This record gives sequence, C-alpha cells and structure tokens, in this order.
Amino acid sequence: MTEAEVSYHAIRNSVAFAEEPELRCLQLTGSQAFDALDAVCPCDIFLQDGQMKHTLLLDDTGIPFADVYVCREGENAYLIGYGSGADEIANWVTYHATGITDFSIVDLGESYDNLTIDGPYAWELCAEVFGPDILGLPYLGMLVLDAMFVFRAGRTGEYGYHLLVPTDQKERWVENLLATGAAFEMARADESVRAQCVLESFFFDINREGQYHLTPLELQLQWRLSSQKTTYPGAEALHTLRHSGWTRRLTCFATPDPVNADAEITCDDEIVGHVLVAGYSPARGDCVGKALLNEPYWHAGLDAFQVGGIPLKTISTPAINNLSLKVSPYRHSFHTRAEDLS
Amino acid sequence: MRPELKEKIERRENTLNRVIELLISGLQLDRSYEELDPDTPLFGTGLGLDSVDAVEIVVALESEFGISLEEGDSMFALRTINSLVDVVLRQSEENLDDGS
Repeated sequence: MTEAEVSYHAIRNSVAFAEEPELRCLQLTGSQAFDALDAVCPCDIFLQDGQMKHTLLLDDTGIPFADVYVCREGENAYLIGYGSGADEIANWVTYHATGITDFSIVDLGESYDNLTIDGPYAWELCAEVFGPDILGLPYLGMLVLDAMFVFRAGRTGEYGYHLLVPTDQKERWVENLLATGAAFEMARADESVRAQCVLESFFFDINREGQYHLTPLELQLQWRLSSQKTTYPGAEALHTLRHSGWTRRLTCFATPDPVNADAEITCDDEIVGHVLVAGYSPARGDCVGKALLNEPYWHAGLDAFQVGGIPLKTISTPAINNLSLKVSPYRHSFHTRAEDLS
Repeated sequence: MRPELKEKIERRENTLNRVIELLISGLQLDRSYEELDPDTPLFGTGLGLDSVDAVEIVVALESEFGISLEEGDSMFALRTINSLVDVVLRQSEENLDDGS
C-alpha cells in the first residue's frame, strides 16, 4: 500500500493521527464572553458546561469564512475551527460585538499545539495515552484534562478528538502516541487523505466548497443557523435569500471514473450544474464529490447526468457507512475487533 | 426534461416533503419546512436527535408509509433526511413488486 492508502485505511479501520496546525482555538474570558459569541454567531448560544455546538462565522453577505464550534467550559467560552487566522477571527469578533466590552480573547495556538486523532478506535488509543476520562466524553463534548483541552469532534465520520496540549509537552505526547499507537496500527494522516474522508462524509470543507462563495442555504448547512436569531452578521443577506428563494444546492454524487472540479454537469445536453469537489473513495471503489446543481435536478437518487461522457448519479449522504457506527467503547476493543464485529 | 426523469423527481420531492413534515410534526421540531435541508444529519450534530427520537421516527415511518426498518438497516437509514427518503422509496418499490 502507498503511504496515502495506509493513512486512509487507518482512519477508516483503526486510528490515525494528524497535527493540524491550521485548526484555530480561541479562548474567550470575562463576564460578557458568551454575550460576545451570541452577537457574532448565527446559532443559539445555549451551552451546558462541557458542550460544543457546530456553527459558522459569516461575512455580511452571508458567506461562511470560518467553520467553527462554539464551546463552554466553566465560565469560559471557546471558538475552535478552520478557515481564518486566529487574529483575523479575534478582530472580527471584537469589531462585531458592538457595545460588549467585558471580555478578552486569547489565541491558545500561541501556547498550545493541536493533535487530532480519528478512527473507529480513536477513543481506545486516547484513553490509553491521555487517561480514561476521555471514554466518558460524549460527541460534541469538551473537557480540560490536567493542562490540556480535549474536544470530541471530527469531520471524517469516525470517532474524532482534538487535543490541545501545551507546546512544551507536545513532543512527549507525540512520542507516547506513536509508541502506544503501534499496537493500534496507527498511521499519520496528511491533509489530502483527511480531506478525502471529509468529502466522503459530506462534512463542510471551508478550503474546498467553502471557496465558491455559497451561502449556508446553498450548502445545506441551515442546521448550523438559529431559526430565531436575526441580528448576527450576514443575517439580513440570508433573510433576503430565504424570501426570494434559492435555485441551486450542494449535492453529493458518485461517478465510476474521475471527474474534475469545475466540470459542467449535463442532463440531455442541458447544463444543470458544476462539479465543485471530487475524489476517489477507496471505501466505495468509485469517485464521490460535491456538485452545485440547479433546481429541480438537485435531488439525491437521480442517475440522469453526465460529466464529459462519464455518467454521474446523485446520492444521499454520507457516501459511506462508517465502521465507527458499529464500534462501542463499552463493548469493543481494537484488539478483539475480529470477534467483536463478526 | 424526459417524462420518466420528471416523474422520478416528483416522486422524490413528494416523499421528501412527507418525511420532513413527519419529522416536524412527530418530533415537534422548531424548524420550518424550508429550513430542513435534505442532507441534514439527524443525530449527534445536525438536528441533534436522540435514541428516543429514533424510536419515534421508526414508529412514524411504519404508520405513515407502512414500512419497517430492520435492526441492521436502521443504523444507516437514520443518518440524514435523505437516507430516510431512500429507505421509504426503496421499500415502497419492493412492496409494489411484491404486490403487497
């Protein structure tokens, strides 16, 4: 197997490790920290202690510029995610939190490094390396463990954890991970392999379809928006679009052969959309992608399309069935996986 | 548009509409029809439903569409609104083929 194939196999079947320096993590402190988040985030900021919520940061035209989670731990708020620099996000929050002054923002990236662990047995490796408390952490939960922050969230469709460890401890934790991970057939996963897993799971990728200036309505991300709030940045633009209606939508597809980004999609010689992202899916044995399709062709389950002579069918998401759905931290183990899942 | 494609799209849209209405009314979702995208995840993230909601959905699907989810199927069928629509359409066609 190639290095990429080993990485992919680890994410889908055992556990994989990545450093992901592009993951931003900001800590907001002060009596108005949550008021500031409430002013700028399009989701409702009702968070219990240790809870995370997946949302977006939008510009004034309603286009996402960051793919983020908002989190609560004690009296502190956290904003973690992808898509912009930490300074850019901090300045943007400060600018838009009009009249809210009693809060401050710290870029945890200055003193912490991120380690991302994904895979159906990520929970088991994390428990062995970082301690058993991780086993009880629910999806979209966070905890502070000694000097590190643990966030349970991933974009591969498998169990996923982001661990922010103090920079001066990073090498020690990486050595521990590599040493313990050997028994789990752990592999390092680079950005391209992780991006392919994100694509298969139909998670939003700010660096791919996020570059096409599409709103959450076109991206099928309305679940990340509050149905009640009306005052966040971009709200007016989205309200206008909702009122007028939108006529194209991000839709998952499969093709037997590779297709290129920006290729035209036709139906009976009529152009009905474009490919935005595509790539080979080892789990499926064909290519999967995300297309921007016009109404009424934007539905899953249609096999009436072509891309330059290659047949294209639209499919429901996610494109694969993840092994993590069958793996339970309470009943299974990587070391007994053959018997567990037979 | 070819008639058979038009018919297929209409069947998909009608089923999608019914599934979304079933979710809104059955689970008292605080969302309008237009706010529920077809590929919205149902559990964990997305709508954030739980195991009690899953039982409600299975019962409602049987009541509304006359279909039943096998235990092994439900894990994958309940991932998004679209995956529910797939199951409804597939089982409806199988029922037609069986004459049931």
